[in-house]
Amino acid sequence: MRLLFVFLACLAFGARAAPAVPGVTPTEIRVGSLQDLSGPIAALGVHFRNGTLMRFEEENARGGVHGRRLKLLVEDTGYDPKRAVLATEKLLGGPGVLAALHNLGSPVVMATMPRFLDAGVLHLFPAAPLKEVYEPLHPLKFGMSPSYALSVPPAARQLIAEHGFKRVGILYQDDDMGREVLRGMDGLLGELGLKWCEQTSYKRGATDFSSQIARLKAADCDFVVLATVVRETIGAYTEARRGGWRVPMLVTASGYTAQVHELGGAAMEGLYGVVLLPHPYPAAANRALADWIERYRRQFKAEPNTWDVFAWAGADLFVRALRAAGPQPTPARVAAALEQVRTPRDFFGSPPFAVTADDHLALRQVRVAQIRNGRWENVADYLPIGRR
Amino acid sequence: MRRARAGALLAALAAAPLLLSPWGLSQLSFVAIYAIAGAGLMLLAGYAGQLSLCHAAFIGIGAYAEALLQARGWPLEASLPVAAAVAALAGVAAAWPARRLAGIHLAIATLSFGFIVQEIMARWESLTGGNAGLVVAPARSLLAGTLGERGLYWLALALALAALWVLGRLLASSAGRALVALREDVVAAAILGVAPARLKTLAFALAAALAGVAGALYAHKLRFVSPEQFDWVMSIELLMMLVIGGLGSRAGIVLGAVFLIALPQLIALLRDLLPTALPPAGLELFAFGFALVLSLRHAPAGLAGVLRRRL
Repeated sequence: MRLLFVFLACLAFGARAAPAVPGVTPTEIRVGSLQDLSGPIAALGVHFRNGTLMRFEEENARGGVHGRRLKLLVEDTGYDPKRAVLATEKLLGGPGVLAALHNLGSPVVMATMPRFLDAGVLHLFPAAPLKEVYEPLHPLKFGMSPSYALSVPPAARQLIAEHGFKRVGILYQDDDMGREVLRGMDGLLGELGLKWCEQTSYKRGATDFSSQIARLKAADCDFVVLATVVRETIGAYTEARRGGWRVPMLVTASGYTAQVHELGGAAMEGLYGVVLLPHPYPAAANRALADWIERYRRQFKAEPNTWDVFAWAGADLFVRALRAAGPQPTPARVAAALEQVRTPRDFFGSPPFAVTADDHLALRQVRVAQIRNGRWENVADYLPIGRR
Repeated sequence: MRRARAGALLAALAAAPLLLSPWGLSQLSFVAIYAIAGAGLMLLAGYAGQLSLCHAAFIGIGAYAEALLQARGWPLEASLPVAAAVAALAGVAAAWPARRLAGIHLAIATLSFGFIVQEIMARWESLTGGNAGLVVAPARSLLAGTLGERGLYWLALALALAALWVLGRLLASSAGRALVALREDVVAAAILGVAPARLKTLAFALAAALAGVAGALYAHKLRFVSPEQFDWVMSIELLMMLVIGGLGSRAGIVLGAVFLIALPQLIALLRDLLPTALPPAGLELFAFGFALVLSLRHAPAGLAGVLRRRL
């Protein structure tokens, strides 16, 4: 019983006074971020944290925004929505936060977004490919990653037009990601007057794709869309090549990562991928990018990847909006500024970002890359993607 | 003296929403919700000796039932008992193999039951929304209107206290003694006139009903349910909570829940005090695991056992 009293006393101690605008003190701007640093997608979480920190520290080295330093408060959710709810309330308590940036994971985002919005906090660029993060329009919520249903069809359309594919097949993970891709591709094939040549799926965690590949091959598909993640992409593509079947395949943005060619090796040559933001390869870097990669390696003792580029780009948009919002930022002022900000194509090769008053999705472009000589190479420039 | 202290604690718990930050209050709400589920699991695993690895499935069934019923306009007074009843039915179904199994075989059977339930949640898209999940509205009650965070806490607190009280009464009854006899020796219990199959089914149904109530509250607390939340990890978490708190002790249920919910938060607070701007990834998980091993090493009878020794 005594322990319970001590516990209650500790909880009561946690309450502290808040500034007039949550997260904005005379010297600091506090920004929260819910990351998975210990759960199933910790490999992503670390990069979202690092990329954001890079951008904030660049700004802090220049004296901060209007004299205030940017402080990133990273909370580890372990991809557990219960811990995410508690972490959200921790961030919202006391001095609070001006914005939540790059919150990671669909269940985490779905459970916590209403809490941030109800508290009047900006909810910016979560790392979850959900339409709900930018639609329906809300003054404080902004998205960066288009859903799979939006991002895959333009890339597939380009390849189909270029190569005259007629018999399109798909291998999809039997979950919300796979079904999103299927939904988007259904729409595209309808528009093109094509029918599925074959659809086949696998359960999350599968490691053997021989039967699925055999089905696609037996149906004589001339083009295959892979709604797969890293390991499954390698497994499926290798399986096809091993059997001598050299059909062109396009993997979604979740398979566009250096791990695919690093782990899959030479067998992955020729795979097409949907690119949202580019992977930062040191070998082909311009001077600004080479310098950035060097600083990243020094600070984090790791190699950056496309998720760092995502995190950096989202943080950059936020910083630009914060600057434009003037010396007394509020969530409403920053949101209004965000709708006016236009970014140039940056040193990573990312496309310009733009949110407008009636469209809060920042990235509405994708491009196609192909694995050539052991790395992803862009094969076409960015294409606009549709609204639905 | 003891009674006065219990009264003071109760008063402090009831007044907590007026004193605590939303963060502190949420921790208490989760402790209460986990205590409700823990009371059921303690009955089943702690007293009746039936190892269940599908408790998350019962919680999930309660959560989905509540979310779906409230979305169809049912008030809490009706949806909550129905959520409990649906979960209890699932408990009866899970008990069917349990009637003939024990130990590791029962653990595997219940684990499989959990997988099946999770799969149904993911596949029955027209009802559950599939893997994309369901957004849950704040709880609506006929008597109290829409429950905010405070209202939900008071409800969870009242139900947790009621669950612990019912558990105490049950254990003091002949049915409770029969359950303990079942755990000690099934054959001996049967010779003494205990009907093992019926009793196991009853224990599963009651435990699942309590898990269903916890699930309903959990759904409102999270405002979002999806199949992946109710996986085997959650079932293990609940068992861990009971072992840390102390198997066979009602106080242990609450202490275990406090450990499970509040310790990661305490660790996160201490992490904020670290001088480095970049704490290593996974630090919290490591610290939690370390505390867990320490507590099992030095308090094999659980936190409740430590308290008993001290007092």
